[in-house]
Amino acid sequence: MSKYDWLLFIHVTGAALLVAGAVVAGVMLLAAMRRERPSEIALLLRTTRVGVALVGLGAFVVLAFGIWLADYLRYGVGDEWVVASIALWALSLALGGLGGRTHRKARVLAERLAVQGDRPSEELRRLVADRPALLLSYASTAAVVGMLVLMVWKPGAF
Amino acid sequence: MVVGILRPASWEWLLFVHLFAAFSFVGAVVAVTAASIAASRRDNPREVALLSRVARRLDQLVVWPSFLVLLVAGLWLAGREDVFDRTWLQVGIALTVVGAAAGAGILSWDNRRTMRRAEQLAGEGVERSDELRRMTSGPLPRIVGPLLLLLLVALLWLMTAKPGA
Repeated sequence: MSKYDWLLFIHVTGAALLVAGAVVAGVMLLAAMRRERPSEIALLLRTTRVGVALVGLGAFVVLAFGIWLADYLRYGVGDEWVVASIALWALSLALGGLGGRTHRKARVLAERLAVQGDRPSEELRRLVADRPALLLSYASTAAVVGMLVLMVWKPGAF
Repeated sequence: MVVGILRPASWEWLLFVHLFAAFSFVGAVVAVTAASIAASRRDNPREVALLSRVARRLDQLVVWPSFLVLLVAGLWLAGREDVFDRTWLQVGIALTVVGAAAGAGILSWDNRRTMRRAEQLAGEGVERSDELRRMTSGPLPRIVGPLLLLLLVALLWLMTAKPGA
């Protein structure tokens, strides 16, 4: 197995971890939006932490091995599609992190309400379904899809 | 590697669809596994039912549709590149069949069984159930789930490294 094969395999595995983490977090959040009881919302939002950890690991691996791979293939880290990919990577993490702050607050509130009678709360419902936070998460997902588009088409590369 | 670089531009849509479906599939399988592991750590039927339902919905709405798209686009790509006689692809297809059978035949069945029993117990107002705990922490999800993830890693390796190509 050549060095290229290893680099590509680890780069793609990192990308898979990144997407898997985003799917775990997204699915648990969407499921939490459909629940009323704080204990159920807390349970689902706690599970999103697994996704966040996978996103962190995947993001690091995909970037480090992506740059190594681009350098190995002599694409150049300054090439437009590589720069655009790195920009989308940073944008995706920043947007996801900003959206995640609201959902972290929702988890803390849900855990508190769960031990205080576990009754549905309008404040919690609003926080879980917070529109700006959701839009940030969707935009973060769109940036990840944008990275995939750049990886496949490599605009500007020969 | 060479095939990847020299692939005609008109095939890129197909490669994009294949990769998009592959990432969605892996993501959904990991999410189903995460929900199943979380369920195996609870003994409250209401919570187990909730997590099992999430896993089941994901299975139906993302895992299987993305698997079909990934398979069709992958076979189409393989046909255009004329690589059906390559060992890496034949092993990959065999592993895919084994994985699909293990996923559908064992894990989906086990999850459905757990979800139904948890819903039944939750409906009866049961707060803690040892029977449910035994079901969720049984050998099936503990062994087959991680094996399936290992299989996915092996498939990822075959599809990227294409050993012998």
